[in-house]
Amino acid sequence: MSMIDAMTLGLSEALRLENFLYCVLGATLGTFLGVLPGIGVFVSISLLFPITLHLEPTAGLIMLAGLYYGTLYGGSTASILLNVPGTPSNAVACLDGYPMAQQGRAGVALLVSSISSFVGGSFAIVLLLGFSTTIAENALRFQSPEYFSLMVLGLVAASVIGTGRLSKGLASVVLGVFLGTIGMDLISGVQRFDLGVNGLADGIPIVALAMGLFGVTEVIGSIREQCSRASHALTSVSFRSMIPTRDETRRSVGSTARGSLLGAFVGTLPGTGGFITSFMSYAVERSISKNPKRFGKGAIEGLAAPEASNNAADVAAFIPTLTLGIPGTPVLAILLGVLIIHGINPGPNLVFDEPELFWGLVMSFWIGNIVLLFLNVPLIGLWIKVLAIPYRILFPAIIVFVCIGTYSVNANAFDILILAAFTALGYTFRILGYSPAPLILGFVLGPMLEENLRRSLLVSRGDPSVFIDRPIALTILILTLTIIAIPLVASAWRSRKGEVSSPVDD
Amino acid sequence: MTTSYRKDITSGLLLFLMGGGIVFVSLTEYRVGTFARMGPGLFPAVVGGLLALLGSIVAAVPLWKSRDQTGELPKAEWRPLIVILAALIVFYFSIRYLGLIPAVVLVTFTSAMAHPSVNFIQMAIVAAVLSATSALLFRVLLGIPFDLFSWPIQ
Repeated sequence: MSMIDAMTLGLSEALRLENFLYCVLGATLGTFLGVLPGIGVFVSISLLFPITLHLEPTAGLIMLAGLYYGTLYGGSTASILLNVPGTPSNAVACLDGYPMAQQGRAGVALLVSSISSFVGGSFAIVLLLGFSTTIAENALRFQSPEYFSLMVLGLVAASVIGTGRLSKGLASVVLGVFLGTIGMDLISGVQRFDLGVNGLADGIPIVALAMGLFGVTEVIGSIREQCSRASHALTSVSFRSMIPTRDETRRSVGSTARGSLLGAFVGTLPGTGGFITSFMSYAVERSISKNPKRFGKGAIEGLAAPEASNNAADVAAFIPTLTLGIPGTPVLAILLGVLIIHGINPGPNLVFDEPELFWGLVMSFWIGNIVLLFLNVPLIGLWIKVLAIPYRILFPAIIVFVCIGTYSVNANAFDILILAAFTALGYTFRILGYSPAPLILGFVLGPMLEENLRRSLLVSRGDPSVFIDRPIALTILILTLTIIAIPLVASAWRSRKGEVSSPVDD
Repeated sequence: MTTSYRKDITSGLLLFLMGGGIVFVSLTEYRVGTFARMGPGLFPAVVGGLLALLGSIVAAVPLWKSRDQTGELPKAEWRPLIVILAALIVFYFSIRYLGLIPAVVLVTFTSAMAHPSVNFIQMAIVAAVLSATSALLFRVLLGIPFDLFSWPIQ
């Protein structure tokens, strides 16, 4: 399918009234939730994820995706106006966005941030349109050994890049893979590790797992800090104040372009996501600037580049997720979970078997991003009022919605106990310094990992050299070992030089 | 903030035990099979083994490092944790025996206790708004057959 055909098909699907409405709804609710202080991507997804399961797959995914980038947009608004990042990806927007707001340039900061995000997202969408079919076509030649190796690579990469010690990240991934084996084994029909409980017979529901591990845990961790924050004086932003000076425009164009490029390429790697790329592109801008002292005091480049790159990275992360079935971030793992719940098999076949869904989703990113531009700029007054809603009122409402949402999926109260168990686990992870992101990736990919391992060994009649004899599988596995080795070698090198080792080691 | 030194040793040991337990159950309860025809027990046994290995690495590495080299971790905040978990349990029982609206009201008030200062009038308004929204959203718009009220004794 040519790029034009793909765009036409995608547009006609994304512009169908129902899909369009869910796209607008997702983006609007996302912005609303993202602006609210203390609510990030995970809480916002947790709130509405169960609802999307009650929709058609395409509409559900479009709404979920809209919610995702809507929350990121809203988060930038909160960062710029209040210096409280709604999501970690937005933390960088505080560095120069908030100083700009303090200098009375909030309007310009908001406009530049919206436009840079739009440009970054658009650039990654073009990459998605241009390369998805090619990647998927090549991946179609992959067989079980290649898939197995690819999944191992994805899981290892995601746990290495996460914060903290390498061994802890890997332990989190492996625990996730184990949790994925709970329930019925599809090949033998045996019930595994279900503790004799009926509610676990079909495995752990991903809704309860994701919402406990990310949503509720996040709320518990924010209550003290967010409730004790003083409420903020409302600022007002007029349209006139949004017009940037000629100098600001000139400087943000280059930054936006560099940020988009960096974000789109780094974002395709598993485990990176917008958070890391926005820091990287901030560092790039500062290092190439003729006057780095301006950074942190309201330099527009320090806002435009990270905003472009985090949006580009978040869209680019969809490339491996949609074309290979390997999600790089927790949110995309949840998205794959939604596909599986609807009985759609993620992988390179997706683009050929479900072209309407695939291209419809991709084009909805564009529509959603345009909608966001219109939502953010003219409605800024409304979002400023939303910023003033205190967390004291919000968090009980979040808990109520998360409970009802989890329950609504299967109408099974047992899922609430699973939610509570994963909340306890999520909080324990937080206290003990384990990252929950690798766990959910392991959980979603675990069953596919096992299936591909079994199939590989079945075909090779039990000979494990099947992973070494096939050049692509071998290359991927060597790459995986390299990824594990790099931090180990780096840490050994540092300690030989007698420097204090960083926490990212062993 | 507390240092991760002791936490890493404890959590690593826990993961080691958990991995060992998984290996034991996989090998004793489920058929292992051969590489060519893997039974349901083989994959979990390998996963459990990996978990035990990683757990022992997590626990062992801090032993060779001086304490000040290990990173810092956030401190537990018990009140919000316990109160929110309690709120989830309250929802579990109230959705089963009392219906949606009582569940919403009870969970609102329970979870509000997570912060020491609770404004009861404010929470009553929140509970009322949430009851109306959730009934409208889940029952009317999404058509999920929730019982708004269901009395245990009729």
